This record gives sequence, structure tokens and C-alpha cells, in this order.
Amino acid sequence: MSECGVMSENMPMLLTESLDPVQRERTHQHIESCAACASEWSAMKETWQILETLPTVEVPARVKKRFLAEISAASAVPANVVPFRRRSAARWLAEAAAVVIVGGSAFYAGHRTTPNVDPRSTPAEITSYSIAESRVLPAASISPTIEGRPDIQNVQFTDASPSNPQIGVSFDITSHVTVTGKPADKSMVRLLRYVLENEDKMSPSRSRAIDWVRATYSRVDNPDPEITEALANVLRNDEHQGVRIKAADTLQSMQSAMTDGTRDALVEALKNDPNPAVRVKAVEALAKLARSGAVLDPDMLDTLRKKAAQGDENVYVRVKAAEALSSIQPR
Amino acid sequence: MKPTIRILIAVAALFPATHLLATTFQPNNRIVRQLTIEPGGSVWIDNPFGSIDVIGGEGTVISVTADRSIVASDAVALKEAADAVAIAFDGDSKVRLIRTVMPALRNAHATIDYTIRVPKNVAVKIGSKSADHIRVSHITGSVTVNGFAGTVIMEDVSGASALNVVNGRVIYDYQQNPIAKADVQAVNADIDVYVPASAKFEWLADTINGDILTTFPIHGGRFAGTIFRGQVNGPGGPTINTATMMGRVLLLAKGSNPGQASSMRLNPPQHRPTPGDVMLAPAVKVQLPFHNGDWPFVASIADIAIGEIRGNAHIRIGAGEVELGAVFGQCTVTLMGGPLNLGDITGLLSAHTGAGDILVRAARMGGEVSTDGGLLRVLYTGGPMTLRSGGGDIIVGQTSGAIDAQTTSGDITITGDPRQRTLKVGARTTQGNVNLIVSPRFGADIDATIVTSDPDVNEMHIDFTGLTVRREQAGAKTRIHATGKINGGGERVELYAAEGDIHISAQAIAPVRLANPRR
Amino acid sequence: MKHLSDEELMSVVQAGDFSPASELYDRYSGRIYNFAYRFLKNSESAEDATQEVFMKMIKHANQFHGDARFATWLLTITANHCRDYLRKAENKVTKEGEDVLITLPAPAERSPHRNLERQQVKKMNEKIIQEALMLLPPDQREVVLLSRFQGLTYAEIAQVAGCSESAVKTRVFRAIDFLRKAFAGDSRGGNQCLNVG
Repeated sequence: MSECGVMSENMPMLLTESLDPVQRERTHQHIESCAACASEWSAMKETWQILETLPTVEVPARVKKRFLAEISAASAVPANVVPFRRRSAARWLAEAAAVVIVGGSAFYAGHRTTPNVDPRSTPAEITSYSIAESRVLPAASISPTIEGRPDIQNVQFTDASPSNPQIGVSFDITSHVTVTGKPADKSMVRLLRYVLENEDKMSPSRSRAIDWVRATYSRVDNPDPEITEALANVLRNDEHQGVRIKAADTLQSMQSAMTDGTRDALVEALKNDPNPAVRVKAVEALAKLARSGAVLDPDMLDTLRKKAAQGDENVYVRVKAAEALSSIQPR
Repeated sequence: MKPTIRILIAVAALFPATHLLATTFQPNNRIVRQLTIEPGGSVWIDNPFGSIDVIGGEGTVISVTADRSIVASDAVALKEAADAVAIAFDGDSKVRLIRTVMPALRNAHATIDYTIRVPKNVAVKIGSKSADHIRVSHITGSVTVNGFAGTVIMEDVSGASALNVVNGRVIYDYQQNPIAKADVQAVNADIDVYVPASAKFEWLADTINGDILTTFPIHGGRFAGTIFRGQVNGPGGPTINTATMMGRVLLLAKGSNPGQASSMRLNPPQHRPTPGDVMLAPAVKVQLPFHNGDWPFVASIADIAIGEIRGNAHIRIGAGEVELGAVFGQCTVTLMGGPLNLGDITGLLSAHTGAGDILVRAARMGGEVSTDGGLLRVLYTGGPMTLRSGGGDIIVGQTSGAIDAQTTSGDITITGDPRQRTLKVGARTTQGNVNLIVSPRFGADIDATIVTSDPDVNEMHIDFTGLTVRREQAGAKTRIHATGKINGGGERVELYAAEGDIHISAQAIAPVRLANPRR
Repeated sequence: MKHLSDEELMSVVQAGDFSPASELYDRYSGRIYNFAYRFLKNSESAEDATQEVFMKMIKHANQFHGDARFATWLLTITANHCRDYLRKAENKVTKEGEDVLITLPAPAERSPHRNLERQQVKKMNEKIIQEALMLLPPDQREVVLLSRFQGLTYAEIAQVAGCSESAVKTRVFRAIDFLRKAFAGDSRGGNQCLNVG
């Protein structure tokens, strides 16, 4: 076969990186030197790439239901497995009106062993379900008060889309839960606040959480002030400056929802934060507040004044502090 | 008769419409008081809103005249304010306190203008928030003024004076040669000092954003950073310190023409620039569509927006914002603080800001970019690039050169040019994720490490086969280490994430095509 | 359970405990369903196939030896099931070897209004790909799906498809050739007549 013929045959392998290095090199070199093969290769690559645009189809949920139903019919429950009492922390979710529980009768004795019990079921029969399933709860149906201190992990977010204005927050708490709702739902706000303030080990996802909160709530008119309170706490307490920078930056974009507490947090940050970028973001937020005509209290004025005059402070911070002062009209 | 009624009716009809402008002078609107004061005693005046005139004279008593005016939106608010706003006189003949009692008013605003005559040898202390003017004249005692907004005038004040103001203007008018020190600290105020031409004193002037001008010949004047120091008419004499962060300072010899004042910044008497000296030109706002040739620029505060620099750019600024559309040569930008927005940089790039975000659209030859705190984003680099952030994400949109990126807190995301079969990459974050996106054919020697206290959450996601992943405990933390060759190996790719994930994704990437720079 | 590997979960199943079934389903249902959907060309059959495949995963768990990748093993089950399904006479859509007249929309050309047209081009491309894929003969379609979308090596595909590696390569080559022609379109645009098989 001609050289081009061999190379042609090699091309599908090249697409999937299935050639050994020597062959790979030789094929590439031939392609680069032969116009016909080059155009054939580029057409093949293009076709291959376009194949990627084939959308993935979502598996309908009923398939899983049927599958798990079939399994449960087929399996036997070991007689010596005893259900645990439910953890009170999970009660908050169990009280939701619209809990979807999938049937399944096996337990897995892993590190999380507490199945939820549907309070509405009769005591004689306990509806139990497999740990690894997923539940979706509307925010409106869960109580805004988070009882106990449930350990939530693996937080992820879903954006609203043009066809579906609901946002979603999902996490693992004994099982995987997704809470959907509107940005203004109090339960959603409380949940986000919990995520922002309480995920002790979770600074990477706190950073993502802040990005997502910013993207979601900047589009909302009059966002709930609890969100800014939560961000203020992050600004005060997080040990990672990247996260604090993001928190201050996000606060800047949510002026209408600022409370006295959030303003205090910004002043604190301007006064004491060791990272210059955090101080920059804080002073920019305060300057923006001043320009919008908000009333600034004496402590804020004093901090701005001191910062402007402070010789060892970053010059940009000083200038921004001075600018903020120039736009203030003391009432 | 009839006309009168008509007028009255007219007035009554107007009233509701102009509810915000209703001003009423009431009979008990003026207070006049006399207070005794010992020689060398002090007068303290605390008045948040309203002018204050303190005039020194030959008398022996303090004579206070206070005029109050209230603007309210309706009659009720007016009455409330009138009842609430008053003056308190406290103290004794050694120290007299004159204090405006001003509670929070609803729908009303009150100001009290004071005219106070005092013996000229008293010490004067004034506190104010906003005043049309505060004037202290003919005083030989010490004077202290703390104000926020307004004009402060020191006229023939020969005692020591200390002023601390934020916004407004300060004017010193010496009628004799100064014999006591004067210390003015302002944020956004211009300071004008008028002194007899024969005065002898030491002059300190400090401003970051303004100019320092004088009609005096200054000998031995020099800058130390932003502070200018010089002797007027020889050594000796008191120190006059004029510091204003964003305003300008003007020292005029009486009888001289202000238009002839020369700038200490632009024509410093003896200026040897020290290496760290950034503060040479006063604050600038530069906006140009393009500049032919090199562009060296140094300023203390500047906002720069230039479309094209057709040469090399060397910019050093204390604080400000810099935006450059394109630089056809080398580009060096250093800010102590402020954001950088750079477009198409043809030559080597060196960009640093003390605090702020940096965005670079294209660094064709690579270079280095750093911020002590902020987001670093380079959309394309054609050469090796070093990125450092003191806290914040680092994003490299596409690179065909080696990358060395470090941040103390934030995610690092790097996309490799699909035309590069291999690339040297080093990415390290001590809190955050590392994402490397390359074409499926990318070959490299991988060494990726995650150190995490939660191994359930932080994981390696690698789209390539051929790597060995090991987990080991290091105290309370888990160390996940992936090593090996992908696609036959290549340059060394070293990734490190603490408390985060590492992703090495294989994706079909559209290579960035740069337009030819117009010349 | 999330931190256990596929192989570890399968050992649990092999020991008689079916609780990992849900986790394994979550991990692989997307891939299995998509493969079945693209292969069988309709969603109902794909749903049945998916359920069948996972039931077989449980029932025949003891046949998984951990010497192959779990994904490969699962896909082998899937491919076998799908091929059997098609072989049944009533499930055939068209007889193989016939010339089929296809009408494909001409690919959109580049236009100065980039953003809007790009969306439309994208939609058009997706449509062409889907239709072209459906027109491939099953054996070629199978290898394209396994290679492009399931990320299997040619050796693994040979295992799954039950043929030799060189046969796999030939099928891929022909499939891409066909798809490329479907895609490149004719400069005359409009209808095309393509020889299938």
C-alpha cells in the first residue's frame, strides 16, 4: 500500500492516541509534509471534534426507580441488621412536605449509618431507603430554622436558567439532597448562610459558594440582608485571604442589602486586615457607599481619616480613603 | 383690604408646594451672652453645623452671639427642632465651653452661626462638622481646629496652631512674621499660606496628589519621599507644616504675584532622585488614543488610559488605575496599588501592583505578573510567564510558554495551547484548586500533589491514563500524589493544591489566534 | 460509599449485598443509557436496555473478575444486549446493504453576523451529526460510540464488540469517512445521495 494509504489507516488511531510514539511521530510528519493527507487529517479531526457536540441525554429518573424496585424484590434483608434512630439534625429535612423516598430495603453499614424515618409513616412499618440516593426538596417546604448543627458536605450549586428560574443548592447530609427555590426564599437564604459560615474545613467550596452567591444575588432586586451578614462574617473570620478578598468584593456589589453589621465588618477589614487587597476592596466598598449618599457613622469617618493620613499604608488604599471622604456630606 | 387678602391667600397656597424650603425665623432665634474669662484661659467651641468667627481683641470678657436657623419640611418638625436645638454654656472662668446641643432631627436641619469676641491672649479650640467658614482672627494664644468640611481661615494668629480638616480649604494669613509653629493636616483640602516676605521659618509640605508651589526662593530645599522641606529666609524660626493628602499647598510671600509661584515638584531646587522615589509629578489623568514612541511615566497618583503605545512603556505609579490597549514593545508597569488592565503586549511584560487585580489580554512574549493581593488573569501568553498572587485566583486562558504560578489562597486555572504537544507547568496554591486543561494529545511528566484534611472532598480528576496515584497520611492530613507520564511523557508538570482538587482535563481547545499588531 | 472503587463495590455485590447497586447505577447509568440511546436510536429501547444491563450487572456479578476495567465489562454487557436486540427481526429499521436516500441540511456557511449564526451553526451541526450517526450501519456506529464517547482503546473495543482490533480500525475509518462526507456537504448544497454500507 502506498505511504498515504498507510497513513490514512493510521489516522483513526491518531485521533484516539492509540499509536505508539514512533508511529505517531511518523504519521504526524507525513501529514505535515503531504498536502492531501493534511487536508484529510484536518477533515477527520474536524469530524471527530464535531462528534463531541452530540449532546448527552439525561437518563429518565423512572429507570432508576424501576431498577431499584427490581433489586429490592430480588434481594433479602439480613435478619441481624437493626435500624438506628434518626439523628435530630436530619429532622429539619424530614419534615419537608415533598420528600421523595425511593424504596429499597438494604442498609449499608458504612461510616454514615443513620437512615431517615418518614414521620408520617405508621410506627409499625418503617420506610427505609438506601443511603446513596438523592432527594430534591423545594425550599418553600423546609423550615428556615436549621436545627442542631448538621454536618453538610460536598456542596454544589445550580444556576437558574431561562427555562427554569429555580436555583438549587445540593449537599450530602446522610444522603444527597438538593434544595431548589427562588433566591428570595428565606429557607434558601438561611441555607446559603449556613453554607457560607459553617463549613469549617471547606474553604475551597466557600470560595465557590461566594462566587455563586454573587452571580445569583446580584441579579436579584433587594437581596436578603442575611446574605450580606453571612459574607461579613466570612470577611471577619476566614483565615484564607483569597476568600476574604472575594467576600469583600461581593459585599461591594450588594450595596442595597448592607446592614450596620456589614458596614462594621468592612471598617474592621480596612483597619486590621493584613492583606492589602482585602483593605483595597474594603475601602472601595466604603467609598462606593459614601458616593451613594449613605450615612456613615463617626467610627467609619475616623477610620477613613486615619487611613488617608497613615504614612505606611498602601498608597492606593490611602487615595481611595481620601476619595471616600471627599464625597461625604456630614448630615 | 381686598388686595391684602389676596396676597395672604397666595402665600398660603404656596406653602404646601414649597414644603422643603420653609424657613422661619422665630423671635427667639438669637442668643447673646457674656462670659468672664481669666487671662490666658481657654475657649472651647463645639458646633457641628454653622460658621464660627472668633475675633481677638483688647477686652477682658467673652462675648458670644449665636444665630440659629432651621430648615424644616413642615411646621411640626420646625417646632420640634426649635425646641430641641439649643446652646449649652459650661465650664468656668478658666475654661469656657460653648456647645451646640443638637439631637437627631426629623425632617429638619439646623445650623448655628457663632460670632465670639474674646481677649486676644486666650487659647481657642474649635470642633465642627460642616461650616461655611471657621475664622479665627487676632489671637496670640494657641488655636486648635478639628473640622470635616469647610474653609478654615487663620488671620493674624501668632500662637501655635494645629488644624485637622478633611475636606475644604485652609488659609493662613500672617500679618506678622510667624513666631510659633503651625501644623496643618488635611485630607482633601488645599492649603494657602500668606506670609510677610521677611519671615524666617522652616517649611514642610507634604502632598501625594497635589503640587507644592511658592513664590519664596527656597534654599536647601529637598524632597524625602513625598515630604518637601526647606528653609525660608535662612535657618531658624518656627516650623510651618502643611500636609494635605489630595490637595495642593501654596506658600505666598505677601506682595508677590501668585501666578509667579514655582512648583517644587516640577522645579525642585536641589533634587537628586533617590531610587525609591516615585513621587515626582503631581496627580494626573492621562487619556490618549495612541502615543508614538516610548512612554516613560512616573507619578504619585495617576489614572492612565492609553489606546496604543507604539514603543516601550515604563510606568511607575504610586496609586491609580492603568489601562493600556496595546504596547508594541516592552511593557513594565509598577503600581503600589490599583488595578491593571492591559491589552495586547508585544514585547516582554512585567506588571506588578501592590494591591489590585491584573488583567492581561495577550502577553506575546510572556514575562511576569504579580500582585500582593488580587485576581490575576492572563488570557493568552506566547512565552514563559511567572504569576504570583498574595491572595486570589490565577487564570491563564491559553499559554504556549512555560508557566510558573503561585498563589497563597485561590484557584489556579491554566489552559494549554493545543498546538503545543508539551509544556512546562508549575502551579501551587496553598488553599484552592488547580485546574490544568490541555488537548488530548498533550504529553508530559506529571507530578501532582494534593494535601488535604478532607480526602472525601478533595480529589484528583485526571482525564489521562498512565498515572499512579498514591495516598498517604501525613499527620492529620492526607497526601494524594499522582505521578507518571501521559502520552509518552514530555516536559515536567508539577501541580500542588492544599485543601483543594486537582483537575487535569483533556479537551478539544480552539487555539487562540492573535491579530497581527498594526504598525 | 462514594470513596470505594467500582471493583470494591462489585466485591460487595458478589458477597450478596446489593446496596452498592444504587451507587454503581449513579456512576454509569449516564454512559450506558447514552450508548444504548445512540445505538438503538430510540429512548424506550434505551430505557429497557439500561435497566436490563444493570440487572445483569447484579445477576452476573460473579462473572466480573477485576481483570478488565469495570466500565469495559459493563459496556460489553450493554453492547451484547443491544446487538441481540437489533438482531431480532421485528426491531430492524432498515435492511442493511441498501442504498438509502438521505436528505441532510446543508451545513451553514460562515457569515459576518457571527454570534447569532454561530448558535444556528451549532444547532445545525448537532442535527447533522445525530442524523448521520443514525445512518451508520450498527457495527460502525458501535465502534464510533465506544471510541469517541466511551473513551475505550481499540483493544478494549475489540473485546466489547467481539472482533479483531484491525476490524475495529477499519470500521472506525469507514465510519469517520462517512460522517466526514455527510458533514462536508457538497458545494452544491441541498440533497445528497450517499452509499451506506
